[in-house]
Amino acid sequence: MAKEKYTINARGSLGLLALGDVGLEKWRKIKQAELDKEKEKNEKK
Amino acid sequence: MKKNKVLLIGWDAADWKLIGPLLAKGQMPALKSLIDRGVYGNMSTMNPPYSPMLWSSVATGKTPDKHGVLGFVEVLPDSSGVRPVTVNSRKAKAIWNILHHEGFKSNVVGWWPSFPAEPINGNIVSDKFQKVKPNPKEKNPIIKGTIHPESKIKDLKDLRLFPWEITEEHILPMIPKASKIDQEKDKGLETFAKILSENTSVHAAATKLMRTAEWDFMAVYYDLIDHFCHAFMKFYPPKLPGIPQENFDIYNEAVIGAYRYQDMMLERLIDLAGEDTTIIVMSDHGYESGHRRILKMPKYPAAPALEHRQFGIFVAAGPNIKRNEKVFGLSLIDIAPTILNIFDLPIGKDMDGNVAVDIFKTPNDLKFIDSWEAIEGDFAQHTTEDKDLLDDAASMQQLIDLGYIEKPDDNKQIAVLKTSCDLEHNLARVLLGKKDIVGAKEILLKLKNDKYPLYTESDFEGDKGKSLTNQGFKAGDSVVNVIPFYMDLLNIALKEKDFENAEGYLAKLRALDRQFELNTSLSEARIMIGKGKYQKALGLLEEAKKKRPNAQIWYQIGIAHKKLSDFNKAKDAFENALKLEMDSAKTHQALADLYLILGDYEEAAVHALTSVELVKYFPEAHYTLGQALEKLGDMGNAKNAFEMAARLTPKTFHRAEKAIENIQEKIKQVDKGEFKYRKDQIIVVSGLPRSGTSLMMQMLHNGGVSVLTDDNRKPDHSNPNGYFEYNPVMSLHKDNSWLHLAKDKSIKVVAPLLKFLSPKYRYKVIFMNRDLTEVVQSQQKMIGKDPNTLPIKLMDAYQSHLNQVEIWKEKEPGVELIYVNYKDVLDNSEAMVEKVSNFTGVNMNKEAMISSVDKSLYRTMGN
Repeated sequence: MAKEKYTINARGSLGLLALGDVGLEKWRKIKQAELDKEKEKNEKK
Repeated sequence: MKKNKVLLIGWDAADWKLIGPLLAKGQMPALKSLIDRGVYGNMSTMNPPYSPMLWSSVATGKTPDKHGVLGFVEVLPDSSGVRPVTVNSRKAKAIWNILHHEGFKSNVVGWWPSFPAEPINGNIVSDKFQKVKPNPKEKNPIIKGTIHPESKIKDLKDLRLFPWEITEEHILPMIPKASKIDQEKDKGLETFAKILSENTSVHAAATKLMRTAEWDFMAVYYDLIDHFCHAFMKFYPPKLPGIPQENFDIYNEAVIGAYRYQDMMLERLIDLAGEDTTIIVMSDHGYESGHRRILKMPKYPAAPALEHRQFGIFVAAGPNIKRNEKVFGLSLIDIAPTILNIFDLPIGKDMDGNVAVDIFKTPNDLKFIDSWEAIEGDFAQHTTEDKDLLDDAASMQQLIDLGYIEKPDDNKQIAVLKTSCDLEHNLARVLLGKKDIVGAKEILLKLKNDKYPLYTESDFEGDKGKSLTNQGFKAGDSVVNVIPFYMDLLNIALKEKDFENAEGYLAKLRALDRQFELNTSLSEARIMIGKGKYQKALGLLEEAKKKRPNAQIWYQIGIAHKKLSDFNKAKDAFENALKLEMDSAKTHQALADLYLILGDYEEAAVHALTSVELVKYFPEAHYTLGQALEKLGDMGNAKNAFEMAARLTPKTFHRAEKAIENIQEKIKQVDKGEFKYRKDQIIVVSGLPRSGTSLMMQMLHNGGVSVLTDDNRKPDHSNPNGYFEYNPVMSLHKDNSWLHLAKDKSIKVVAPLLKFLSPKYRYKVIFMNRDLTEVVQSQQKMIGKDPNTLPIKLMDAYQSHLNQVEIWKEKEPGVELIYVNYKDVLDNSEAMVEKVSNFTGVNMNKEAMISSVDKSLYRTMGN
């Protein structure tokens, strides 16, 4: 099967969840990265 | 990578009624791809349609009376309380236990029930895994028994999605107007997040195991569709009266959204399984999506299952599965035997299901053993109950929220008593489904007769009181609701035609709860039909129809009209029943039977075929199909249908056997004569009273045919040569067990009683015809009334009897019938004697028969 490309953002999607463990883990990573970024920004302020 | 793998995917409550349009619109592409390269069909559910029982039947190939899972909850081993059902209730080996013993590896995820996880060769992620606390501040450790092996916990624990992680990206595709929800008042989004996150957790664990663990067999169970249906089906289009427009606008796409998400998850599973794997997608029952949706559930246990439909779905694809074919007659109990067959393993003879051989291109040879339960060795079953497995408040709450169980009584003893009664009642219903009426009745009578504690005023204080009031209880009520026992006993009495008891149960039900008025009207109408009071029954049914029409009411209206020989009205009623419930096998069969009477054999065949497609184990429908095909001249298929009817009937299906003999004769065309002697035939002389039946009996007697008579009724002025009657005939409708005494003899049976002749024998019926006016005049004279005053009602009734004889003759394969005109016997005795002799195939003394005719009697008989 041809590999499909997914754009993942912190809000996630049903498509990502339907991918199962892989989708869930990737989404959480992106979410965490965004949270970390936000935190860093806030700390700088 | 392993070959010959099997992936079994359970979609609780998935229904073709909703899937069909989605497939057509291209909105379930994954399922469509399986159908295109596989087989599909209906999956017939069992009664009662409670999911833990059904999925345990799928896993074991056995009915719940054998596997032991009898409800949503179970009593704790020390009887100290109740808890959601666990694998400890299952007494039979599941597929994965057998595969473990045979050296295969299995992964089982989310199966209901599968907690505590059994120590199989492979992995079990039990149904406890996905259940998490809704509050983000609370911890959610993986409790002991949730996952086997425990070493897998570290890989899987973070794959649980929590409700608070759900975002608008997950909500809006299914509930586009979610922003309009007032979350203070409407908890719909909480429910949505809980169901979605739980099913996503199951899916994540399944995909992880598929990717990382070696397996031969994998089973994954999702309750997404079922739980979405329970929560949101009431908002599915068309809008039901009573549903606020605002709520309808918000939630009307939720159920469809669940189906589409389920399909997206399926796509991933198919992808991971690979083309070498046999994939089965199935549901345990369907779900009402039309007019039968219930907005106000009756207050008895598991009432929400009333919305479960009889047919779920079945789809299978794989290297040895046929392509794009519809398969018929599958049942939940067929899945385990079929999977064992794929692995070339024997099927236990004590399994209730069969291998679905029709789905395979090349089926494996069928192998059998007496029982897998009798095989000793390591099947990875629990040997002792783990004392640490306490009752689980969160899971109990979910079952309460879904409406599957009542909130257990705070008094643990009462909670245990109620649960035990529920489980016993479910067992009775299982036995009813297996047609073990005696077993079911024994349990129900015990439940009905047992003495239960009563609620007192003090029970109705505080929160407990509110909860009891909501459940419909009041002080003085029995703590166990006995209404469901009476309902089943009433149905059994109706099935057994025990109308006296049926009336007793009906009266009791009405005394117990007046809210059951609609249902009891239907039951009362059935009693009236059984007692032959068809007009009264129609009156009751019309009233019930006015309140809320349903398919059952229309069906019974059809039955009543049919009994009244009002066939067109009966046809309309059955058609109306089908409009409301299009996949009722029973109604299709009734309609087929009616079309046979009306002479429209093609329509009869269509409906009979639909009926057997819906339910394969329906001997009567196969029989009707055979009758229709025989009339259409398709003797080969008619014979097949009759043979199937005979095969499916545990006892001898006499009608089918006679029909097969008839067809064989027609196919062979060995005997081209119209009539011949049949071994052990019974010659029946029939007609209306005073139509010459005694004369014909006398002719046969003089002709040398033995007559079955007790001579109790002596000759008199009306019948100077005797009546030739046999007293037991008068009660033929109650007892026909003596008919063997009439073999190779003649017997007199009046027309209205013909239909009570047992289909066990072959009958040669000589039906005496006489002008109806003459018949009635003769009768009037015999009973001392004015022969010139003709009672019109009686004339109509007689005409109706004559019409029914014609229908009866057509429907009974063991019956051959000729009409003999009384006047012809007098005027043309020789020809009539010849006719009778040829018909019976018996060599008679014709001269003696002719000399029996005394024309002077014609005058005596009122002329």
